[in-house]
Amino acid sequence: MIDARRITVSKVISDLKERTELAERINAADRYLVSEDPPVRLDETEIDAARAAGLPDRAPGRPG
Amino acid sequence: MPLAPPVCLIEHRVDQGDYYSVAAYITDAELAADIVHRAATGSRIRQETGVREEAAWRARSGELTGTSEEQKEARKVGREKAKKDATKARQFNEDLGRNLIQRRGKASQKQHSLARAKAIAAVVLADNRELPARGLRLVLSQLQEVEVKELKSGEQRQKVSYADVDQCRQFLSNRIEEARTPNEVLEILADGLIAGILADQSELPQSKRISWWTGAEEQVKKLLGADHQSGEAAARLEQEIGESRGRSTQVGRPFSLALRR
Repeated sequence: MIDARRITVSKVISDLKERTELAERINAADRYLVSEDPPVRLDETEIDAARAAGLPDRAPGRPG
Repeated sequence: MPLAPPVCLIEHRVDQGDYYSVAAYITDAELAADIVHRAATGSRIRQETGVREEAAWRARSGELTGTSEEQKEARKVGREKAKKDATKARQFNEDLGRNLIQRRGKASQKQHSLARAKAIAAVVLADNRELPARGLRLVLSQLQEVEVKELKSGEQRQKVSYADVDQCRQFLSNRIEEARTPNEVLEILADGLIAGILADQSELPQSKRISWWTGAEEQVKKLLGADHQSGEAAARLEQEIGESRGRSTQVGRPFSLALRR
């Protein structure tokens, strides 16, 4: 199970190259939370939507 | 009969006493990976973080412009450049280490020791901004202004103003700059350390006290114990402490004059 409020790149992407590239992109979007393994989280409205639909069906929130 | 949607989100409500917290878990790893992909590439990031961040990242990485092939090529060039830079850096660091060892010796010590001592002092002062104000301003009259007022009763009342953090730092920095020998630099630094550790701030109201500490306080006390208890530095320090305490009828030099020393 993966914490919906903190989906770290390393936990869900096994390919190192892909992981590095995604981490770079996510870090670039948020200069203040730069990390080698940046987390992505669903915000409350997205979790509400997922709750209603049985799965998250909206675009994810900002990294954080 | 339509199938129920797959369960991908599990929520657990925890009673925290005054409030409930909800832990939410995604059970589908593929879905989580998809979320990460969309977070990285999706339009919402661009909308939320704005064009400026996007441009900053483009400038930093140089990989977002062009087709995916061009991006791949740019990354390849970047990796090759990084590899060359790493080799150069390794070579430079090896040369530096060799030069550092080769230059050691009496001639080098004689030629550069004053500059070295001043460099070390500059680092100490930069990393310990409050050090001079913590102690020296309490023990040196140059860093105090004493205003003596005579009351109608004939009694005298003193008001002491102390130099602030920047003025104290400037004062110590000037003295170090003027030093002619490495030993003089070390002596001035040692004065600052001894005063910083030993000067009693009880003469100041709480709000005016300076907070400074060093993790090496015990070591400094042990190493400089003999320094402040005897010898030339002690005599000078004691004299300066004495001056500041027995100054009841004197008026201290204004900070501005002390700083010009």
